[in-house]
Amino acid sequence: MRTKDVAQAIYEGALEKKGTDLSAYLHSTVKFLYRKQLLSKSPQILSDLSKIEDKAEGKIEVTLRSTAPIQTAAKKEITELLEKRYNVRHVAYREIIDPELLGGVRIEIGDDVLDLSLRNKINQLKTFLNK
Amino acid sequence: MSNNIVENLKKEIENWNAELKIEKAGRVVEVFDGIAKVSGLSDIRSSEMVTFAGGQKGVALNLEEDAVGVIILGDFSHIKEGEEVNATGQILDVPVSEALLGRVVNPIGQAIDGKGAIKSDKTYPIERVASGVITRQAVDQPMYTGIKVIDAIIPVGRGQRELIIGDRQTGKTAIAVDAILNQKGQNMICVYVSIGQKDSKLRKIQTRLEQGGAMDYTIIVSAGASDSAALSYIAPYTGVAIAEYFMDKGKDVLIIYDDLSKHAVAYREISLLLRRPPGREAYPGDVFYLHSRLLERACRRSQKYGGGSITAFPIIETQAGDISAYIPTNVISITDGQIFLETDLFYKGIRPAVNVGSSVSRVGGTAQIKAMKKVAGTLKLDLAQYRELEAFAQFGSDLDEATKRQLERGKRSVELLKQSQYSPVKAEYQIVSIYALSKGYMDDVPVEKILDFERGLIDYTERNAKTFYKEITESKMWTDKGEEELKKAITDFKSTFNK
Repeated sequence: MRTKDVAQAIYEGALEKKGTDLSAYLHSTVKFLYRKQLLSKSPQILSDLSKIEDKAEGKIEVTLRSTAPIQTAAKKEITELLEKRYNVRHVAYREIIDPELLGGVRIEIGDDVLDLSLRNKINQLKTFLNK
Repeated sequence: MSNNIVENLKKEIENWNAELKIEKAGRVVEVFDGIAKVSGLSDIRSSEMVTFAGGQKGVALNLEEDAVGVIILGDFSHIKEGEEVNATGQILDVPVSEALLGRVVNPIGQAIDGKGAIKSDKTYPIERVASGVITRQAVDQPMYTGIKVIDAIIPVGRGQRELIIGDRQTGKTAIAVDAILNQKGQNMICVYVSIGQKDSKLRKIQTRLEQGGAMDYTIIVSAGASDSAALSYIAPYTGVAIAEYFMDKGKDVLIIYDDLSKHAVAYREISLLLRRPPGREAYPGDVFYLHSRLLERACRRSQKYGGGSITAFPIIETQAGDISAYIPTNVISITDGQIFLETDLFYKGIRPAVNVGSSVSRVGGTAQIKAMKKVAGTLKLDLAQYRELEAFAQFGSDLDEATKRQLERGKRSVELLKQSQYSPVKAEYQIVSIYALSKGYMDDVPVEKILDFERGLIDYTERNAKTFYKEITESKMWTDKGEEELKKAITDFKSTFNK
C-alpha cells in the first residue's frame, strides 16, 4: 500500500465529518494504521495528506529565497503572479535568507523553480561565455 | 514628434512583460556507478536531457512513481547527494556540421582530438524514428569495400546493413578500416563509431586513416574503454545522428559500429543498475530493440525524398566461434547478411579470414554491376565445389582428371582471394583477375605465384586493354570487342610471365 493512497483515503473519509465525529474518525484511523503497521510511515502520510489538502483548497506552498527580507509590496506582486499562474487562492510562504544567491530572489513551487537570483544570471553568463 | 517616440517607448517599456521561464528542478537522492536517482522532475519525458549543478549532462531513462533514474554522461565523481538537477525539456541531441569531417568526437559531440571546439549551428536528436517505407528505395548501387572476397562473393549495396562477425583477432576491424580507405574518391562520408575500444587501438586506426588520406571524409565517434557505460550506450546513436545529417544532404554514408557486443554489455550494465529485470544472459528484455532501432536507421532514400543512404557495418565479437549466443543471433537476424570470419582460416594464412560458406549478403546481389556478377558467379561455384572435394582429396591418391582440375582451380581461387591489409583493390581490377581465373588462364600458374601473377596482369592489362576498362567504368559491362582485347592482353602477359 502506498502512503499516497492511504493519505487520499483518510482525506476522503474526513471530508464530511465535524467535531466529535471527526475526532472519533481520526482516533479509529490511528488504530487502523497501528494494526496495519503503518504508524512508522506516519511522517510520509502526513506530508502526503497536507499536499492533498492544499491541492483541494487551492493552496500552494512556496519557498522564497533571497539575500535580505522581501518587502511587502514585492511580495504582493509575487503573490498575484503566482495566484494567476497556478490558479490558486492562497499562497503560503516559507522564507529563507540565503546569502549565496548574491542578489535577487529564487521562488520554488514544488518541482518548479523560478530563479531570478544574481547567482543564476552569472552562471548563465558563464556557460554562454564557455560556449 | 521626438517627444512622442520617447513617451511611446516609455509606455512600451512599462507594459513589457518579460516571459518568466519556470524551470523544472529535482534533487539527487542517490548517485552510484554513473547512475543518479533524482526526486522531483514531475513532468519529465523519457530520454529527456537533464543538467546537473556542475554542468554534467544526463539522460532520464527510468521514470518511476516518485523518482527518475538518470544516466550521467561524463564524469560523475563530483555529483553530490541533494544537488539540484534541472530538466531541459529537450531530447538528447548532438551538434552536427560539415566541420565534423576529419575530427574525433565523444558521444555528446565534443571534440577529443585536441584540435579545438567544433562550430555548429544545428543539432540532431540522437534518437529518431527511422525513415519510413514511402521514403525508401531498394538497394541497387554497389558499395565497394575494395576487398576481393567481399566485393565478388558477398557484395554490399549502398543502404545495406552487413554484419561483420568473428572471434577476437580475426580481422573484423581490418575489414572495416579497409572499407573506409577504399571510399576515397567515391563521394562517400564515413563514420567510425568506436565503442569501448582501447584508446591505443583507436589512435592506431586514426593514424592509419590519416596516412591513407581517409580522414578528409571520415568522422570518428569514440566512447573509450575508460568512459562510463552511459557514453558507450549512446555512442552508436550519436554516430547515426551524424550520418543522418549527411544523408539529409543527399550524401551516401558508411557507418561502422565497432562493436555492438560491447554496446550490449554497456546497456546491460545500465539496465541492471537501474534495476530493470534481467533476462537471458542477464541482458534486459529490450536488448533486441536496442539494436533493431539502431540498424533500422540505415537506409537508401529515394531521389524524390532527397536521395542519400546510410550503409551500416555493425561488428560483433563472438566467443570461441559461437554465433548462436544471444547478441550474435539477434544482430544476424536484424542485418541483411553477415561476413563471417574464422580463426582457423586466419591461422591457415587465408586473410581476410572470410568463411565464404557461412557468409551471405541478402540484398547486395542486386547492387552488383553486371560485369562483376558474371565473373563472380563461376567463382562462387568453384569455391563451393572445392570445399566439397577438399575433404575427399585428403585421403585420395586416385583422383580422376576432372576432380583434379576442380581441386587445382579451387586452390587458385582461395589464393587469389587472399589480400593483405590496407591494400584495397578497385572493382575493375577485381573483375579482370577473377575473369582470368574463371576462364582458366591461371590454371597452369603455380599456386604460390598467383598473387604475383595477378599484380603483373593488372599492370599489363591496364596498359594493353584500355577499351575493356573503359567499357566497365562507363557501361558496367564489357562488349565482345572489349573481351577480345582483354583475352589477347592476358595471353600476351602469360607468355612473358612464364618466361
